Formats: sequence, structure tokens, C-alpha cells
Amino acid sequence: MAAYLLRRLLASLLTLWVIVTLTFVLMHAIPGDPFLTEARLSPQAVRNLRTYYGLDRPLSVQYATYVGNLLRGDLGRSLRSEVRDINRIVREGLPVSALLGAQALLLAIVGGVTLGVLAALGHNRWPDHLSIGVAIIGISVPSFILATLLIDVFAVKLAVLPVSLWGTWRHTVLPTVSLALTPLAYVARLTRSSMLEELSQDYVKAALTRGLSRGRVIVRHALRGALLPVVTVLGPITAGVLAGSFIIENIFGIPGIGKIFVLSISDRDYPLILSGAVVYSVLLLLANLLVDVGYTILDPRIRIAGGSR
Amino acid sequence: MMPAHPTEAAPPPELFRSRIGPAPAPPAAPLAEWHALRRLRAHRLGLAGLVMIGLLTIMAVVGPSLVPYAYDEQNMLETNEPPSARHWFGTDDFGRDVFARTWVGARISLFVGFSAALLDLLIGVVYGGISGASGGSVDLAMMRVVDLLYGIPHLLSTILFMVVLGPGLFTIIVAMVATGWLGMARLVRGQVLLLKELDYVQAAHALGVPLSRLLARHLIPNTMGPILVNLTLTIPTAIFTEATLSFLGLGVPLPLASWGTMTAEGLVTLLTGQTWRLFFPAVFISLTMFAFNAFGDGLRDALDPRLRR
Amino acid sequence: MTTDALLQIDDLRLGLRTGNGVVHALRGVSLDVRSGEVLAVVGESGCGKSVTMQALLGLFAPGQIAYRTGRVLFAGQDLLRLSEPDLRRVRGAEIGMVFQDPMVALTPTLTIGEQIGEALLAHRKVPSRDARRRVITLLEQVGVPHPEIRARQYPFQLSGGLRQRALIAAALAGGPKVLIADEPTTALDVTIQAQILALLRALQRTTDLAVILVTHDLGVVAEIAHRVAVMYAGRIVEEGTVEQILTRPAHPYTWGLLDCLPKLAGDRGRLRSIEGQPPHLMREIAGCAFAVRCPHAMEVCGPYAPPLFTAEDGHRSACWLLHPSAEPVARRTCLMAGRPG
Repeated sequence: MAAYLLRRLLASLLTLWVIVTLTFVLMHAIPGDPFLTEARLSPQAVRNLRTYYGLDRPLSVQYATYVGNLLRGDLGRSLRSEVRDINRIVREGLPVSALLGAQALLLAIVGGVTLGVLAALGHNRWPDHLSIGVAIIGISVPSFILATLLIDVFAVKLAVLPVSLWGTWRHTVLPTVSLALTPLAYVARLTRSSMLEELSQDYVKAALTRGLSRGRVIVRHALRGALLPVVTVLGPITAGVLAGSFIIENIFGIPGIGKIFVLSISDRDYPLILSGAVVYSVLLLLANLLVDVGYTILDPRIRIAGGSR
Repeated sequence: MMPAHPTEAAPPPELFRSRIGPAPAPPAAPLAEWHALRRLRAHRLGLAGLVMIGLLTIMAVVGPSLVPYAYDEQNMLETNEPPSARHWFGTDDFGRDVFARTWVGARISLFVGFSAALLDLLIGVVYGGISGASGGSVDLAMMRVVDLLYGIPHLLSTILFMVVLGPGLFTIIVAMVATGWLGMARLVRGQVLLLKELDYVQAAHALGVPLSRLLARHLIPNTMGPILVNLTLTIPTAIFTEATLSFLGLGVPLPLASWGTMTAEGLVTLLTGQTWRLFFPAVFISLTMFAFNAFGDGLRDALDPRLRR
Repeated sequence: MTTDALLQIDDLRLGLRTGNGVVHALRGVSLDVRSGEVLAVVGESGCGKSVTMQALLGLFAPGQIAYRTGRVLFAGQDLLRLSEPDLRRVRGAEIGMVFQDPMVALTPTLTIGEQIGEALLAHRKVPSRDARRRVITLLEQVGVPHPEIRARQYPFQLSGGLRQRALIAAALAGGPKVLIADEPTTALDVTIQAQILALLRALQRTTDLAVILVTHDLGVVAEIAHRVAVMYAGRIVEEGTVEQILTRPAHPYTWGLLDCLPKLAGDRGRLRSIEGQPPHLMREIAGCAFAVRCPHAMEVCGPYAPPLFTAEDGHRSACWLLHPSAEPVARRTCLMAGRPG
């Protein structure tokens, strides 16, 4: 098992390196100069800025410097934002995004599994129909549309929750729900079909013949098997939540790294864009690695046989 | 419902005299292929999806011509009018007819969705087909590349490409396809590997049939099922990505209108109350995503060999 | 109807809902088994043997059942009328069941010890240390070597034979008086099969266990059964002792089954099979269900369903050939259409 995880770790690092390089190449492939739009600057000032940011040095040197800095944990300096130190920007924004993301993930997983299990148990009756309904809405309605709908209903019309910004727990409700619904739908759908599959297996019937109660069989026997496929999908789910956070933070004006990343794109703030890509990728790779670890722990066949899937 | 008890009366003795022997065999069961079509027809949600796709496509084509306004025709005397007999979906900030814009937006969103999915298909099929059919070290190398690129988050790479390539209809498609073809390639390669093991394929190969012919005539046609399903399910992802990009300001440039840009423009109406500008593009994005997802699900269920009974 | 029967099924009729309609799975099944005896229930796939066993333990969800009539008498109670909690007390503690494929009949995500242990604890409250010891004893009784190690392992870590033994141990954990073995050896190879059968025989002799053995393999029947019931299209068509059924069968279907056994010695000839297919149980069958495939069918067989006639003491067959008005038939040794035996 340890060998497998080590292999996965190395693969992740390799992918990270590819992303960093790709992003770097792309950023510097953009025609034009980031400073040309700053009309107020004199040519001398522009030259100074270019030197400061190292943009006058050959590409390979810039690349080496960049990677070197990354390895030391230095994300560089932003071109446009007020706070220049990107590390500080990330340090201030990451907890906010992390909180939002974690809440959304929790809601998606707990809500999705519960809904899926209820749907499987109440197959073809109302819990099933409810679950299918929620799944349809979650999969079809993009999160930003849902967000606007929720804002319209709860913040504008009913004025129960604040429209935007950040501060109290109330501010987290609408963003979390908007962000969580689509992943929740996928989790619910998967849990439902997985649970139905387990419930049709002979071992469920066999467990009942030993005199165990239905409840015990459902939770202790069927659910364990049913949750395994759900764990594998947690990686893409996290990716979805991370990606969705860009938009949601934007709509709700939440000061997280997602919002900053999006702003950096329209500002053409290359160091910030690069850093955003790196941070985003690191988070994702970390999540995938955790999912792999979790899966190997949960599935006895892999834990003991110690092998590849 | 329960069959009546068979006649308890004692049967008359004459009936015991003649031996009639076994009866002729009943007619054989219908062919398996028809089952798939029948099951598709029975899958109501999938059919609903197909019908909806048809309707949306028709409307995308004829919709704008149903009203006497051009989608970019401004009329400063009729700004922000709610839906009425003159403007079925109302007007926006510049007096443009929302109905016309919605269906022009449909053209763009559907065009982008279909094109991206088709290009994914083409590249994926060729790459995956060659990789799978070649086998050995070629296959291994090609798949290593795929695995590496697969780790890059799709939305991230699309955004980065858009930053580099600049806004535009075709640049969006290119940006999406850049990493979008990976899934299809993996799928096709897996299918080709399965088929390679079939006897008739090995026989053809032994008889000297060239690889390209094998691919074109035997392998690809038999993987059509899962490929088709995958295609149907990539379209909503592409539409969603386009809408997200447009929403973030990275999408189609003005004056073109896609559903994503219309939603972005319509966001401000939450505070101003002209919610029809937001409502129509939002509803149609959702309906389109739902239609393709439902149809894709129905197609998948209908083609699933395990359900064939 | 014998009074010393431990378990008695009385005219059980069951209709099940499927996606395509109602299947009349059981069309009047009557069986009984006494303690200390092995009753084999034979028939081809789809005849209703497993359905009968699952029905008597109430394993079908109410939504699946279209109709159910008849009685299943055990210890003075009708199992079909019991509430779920009462039924749960019967399952495992009075009547145990072993399924066909031990790989799918054991929960893959729990250890052997956990599964046997919880079967124990479901019926008696014992402290966990005693339970653990009891699990190891049970594993020893079913012949699992190194039980302390095996108890901590998962099903996938055991071979097919060991898994089946573990399954039997789990089924016996509650101390039942009747064990239903549903095709216990079908998924195993022949050598392991023999071991499992020997185990069942030994268990039965030491504990006076009643065993209902469901199988389609006549070799297994010859090996360990005392009495046999032959099932076809949801009904029992013949029943008797092993000796009676195997040497003097009295139903054309049983003749067909026995003729289908490949011979290892003597004139090998062609492999024989019974012409035709079993009836589709979604249609209602008026007379004898076997009539369409039976070369001895008479006009009466179509419209009238034969009751169980007594061929000899303890040996009954549901066939109009045993009616006084019918011409007796010398048993033909081949049911292939057209060719004499």
C-alpha cells in the first residue's frame, strides 16, 4: 500500500510540474505587454517595472527563477493588486475559500449520501422521486444560475439572508448551497444506484436469514459496500467545488482566492494568474491524494492485498 | 390475479384413452437488438430529453426570424420593457428584443457545445483508436501522455487558454477541446482493447488486414454505443463551460450574445427588478443541460448489455 | 401429512411482480421435513425451488409479492402469518439458510468473525469474549483449520471451500433446527463438493439437524438425501425416498431427469435431453405443466391438473398415468421424440 501511495504522490508532483510549466508558457505566449495599458506611466517607469519583475530577462531564466521561487514557497509579486506580496494575498484569501469549500463539500457529501440512501430504500416511492428531482435540478442548473435564483428569492424578495459579502454565518448560507447543489446531485445519484446494486446482492438476503434486523443489514452490510464507489468520485467532486468557487465568490463578493484569481484574469496580472493556477492545482492534487488514501483504507481488498486497483 | 384452482372435478374416463404426445414448440423470442430500441422508447425521461433537444434546435434555427427585430437592434425608446405582446421576452438595457437574443444565444451555445463535443470525438477517437490498436509500447507511451494531461483541471486549462487566445467563438472551442478530448481518447482506447481480444478481429489481423482497415471497418463501428453516449454527455459539459466562461467575461465577444453573457448582463437585474432578462437565458441553459443529460442517460441505459434480458 | 414433521409447507401459492408482469412462481407447493432427515428438492433452474425457500423465510419484500396463500407450519406457528420481529426470531435461531455462491453470500466488507459473531449476538446476548470463543468453536466444527486466524480475515482471503464452511458456520450460529441449503455445492469443484456434503452429513448426525437440500444435481441427491421431492413449474410433481425415486420413479419428468445423466460405463450413446422448454410462468397453466413436453401425454393432461397419486407407501406422483383409467406404461428409457429406448 505504501508503494502505491508513493507512486501516486510522484505522479501528482509530475502533473503539478506540467501544469506549472504549461501555465508559464501560456502566460508568456500572450502577445503584448502587461504594462502597456498603464497609460499614466512614463517609458522610464515602465522599464523600471519590467526590470523589477524580471520581465527583461530571457524566458529560460525567468522560468528557472520562477520554479526556484516556487520550490521555496515564494509565489512572487502581483502586478496590479494593492497588496503586492502574493503569498500574503493567498494567506488572507485561502481560509475564506477553504471555509466555503469545506462547508459546500460537507453539505454535498452528507446531503448527497443521505438522499441517495433514502432514495434506494424508498425505491420507486416518494423519496426516490424526490431524489431524482433534486438530482435533475442539481445537474442541469449551473451553480451561477442557482445562485442568482437563491439571491432573488431569499435576499431580495424575502430579505432573510444578506445579498453578498462576508462576515457572519448568515453570509455563508447562500454561497454554500449554490456551490453544493451540483456535487450533491452527483453524489446522490451515485449513492442511490450503488446502494440499489448492493441491496440486490445475495449477501444482503443471506444476512437477513441469520436473523439480523433490516436496519442493521442496511447500515452495517450494504452501506459499506455502497459507499466505496462514492469515495472514488470525491476527487472530481472536489474539483467541481473548487471550480465552482470561482464563480460563486465572484457573484457573492466573497474575498477568497477564487475571486482574486478571476480578477487577475481580466487584469492580465500574470504572476497572480500563475499563482492562482498553482494553488488551485496543489489543492486539487492534495484532494485526489487524500481520496486515494481514504479508498485504500476503506476497501479491505486493497488494504490487505496491498495492490493496485 | 391469482389463477383459479384447477378443476377439482374428476375427469371423464374417455380422456385417458388416446396418447397425444408432446405439443409443438412455441414461437421463439424476438431478436435482442429490438430490445434496445424498445427500452429506449420506454425510457420516458430519455425520450423527453430527445424531444426537448429537437425543439431547442428548431427554435435556435427559426426563433430569431419569428420576430421582426434583429438581435442587436437597439431601440432606446423601448428599454427594459417587461414581456408583452410586442416583445415576447421583453427588452434589455439597450432596447434589444430579448426573445431574438435568446435564440441567437441558443445558436451560439448549441454551436459551441456541438462543435467542441464533435472535435473531442474526432481527436479522441483517432488518438484512442491508434493507441489501442497499436498496443505495446506505443500504446503505453500514448496513454502516459493522456494520464499526465488528465491531471490538469479542465476548467483551469480552458481559462488559461482563453486568456492567451483572447475572446472569440472559435477560440472558446479550441480552448475547450485542448483538454476535452482526453476522456474520449481513454474511452475509445479501452473499447478497442476489449475488441482486440475478439476472435474474428484476431483472425482478420492474422490474415494480414492492415491496422487502419481493422480500425475503420471493425473496431470503431463496434464501439459506437459507448462513444455515442459519451458524446451526448460531453455536450452539456461544453455548454456549461461556455456559459461559465461567458459569465466570467472570457467568452464570446460583444456584440455576439450567448446565454452565458446574457446571464452575466442580467445579474444586475436582481436589484433593479427586470428579472426577465435573467430568467430566460437561465431557464434555457438549464433546460438544455437537462435535455442532453436525460437523453444521454436514456441512451446509456438502453445500450447497457447487462440490462439486456 | 405426517404429524411428526418439523417444518411443513401446505399448498403454498405465490405470485411475484416483475417489470413485465406477474410471475406465478409457486402454484401449490406442499412439503414436509422431519428432524434428522435430509430432504432433497430437485428440479431444473426456474422451477421454483429457491423461491419456495425464500418465501418460507419471508425474504420477499411486500412490494414484490402479488399474492400469497397457503401455510408454512413450524413449531405450531404459521410462518407466513408472523410479524417481522417474530419472523426475525425464527430466522437464524430456528431455521438457517446457506446460499449457493459463498463469495456473494458473505458480506465482502466485514470479516468472517464479525459476520458469524453478529449472527450469534442477534439471538443471544453473550459478552464479546464468549462470543469470540464461540465463533472459533463454530469454525472448528465446520472444519476450518486455524480458525483464530481465519476469523479475522475477509471473505476474499478464503478459498471457495473454506468460504462455504464459514457460511455454514454463520448459518448455524443461532442454533437452528432446520438448515436450508440452497445449491450449496454448485459453485464449488467436485472435490470440495464432496467435503461439504460430508460436513453436512456429519453435522446432521451429531445434532439431529433437519436439512432441506435444494439442488439440480442428482448425484448430490444420491450422496446424502433421505427423501426427495421433484419440482417442476412451481409444483411438486413427485416425492418419495431416495431409493424409490432413483430406482422406481413414477413421473415422466423424473424419468427424463434420470435419463439425462451421462453414463460413465456401458453403452454411452448420445447425450439425451428432454425436448422442449419449461413453461413461461407468466401464463396461467390449466392442466399438467409438463404435458407439452411429455411423450405420454393424454387428452386429459391438457385441461385437468393431476393430483398426487400414491404409487407406493410414502411415494407419490402427480401424473394421470397413475389414474385407474389410464393404461400403465412401461418406463421408456429415452424421452427423445421419435426414438424408442
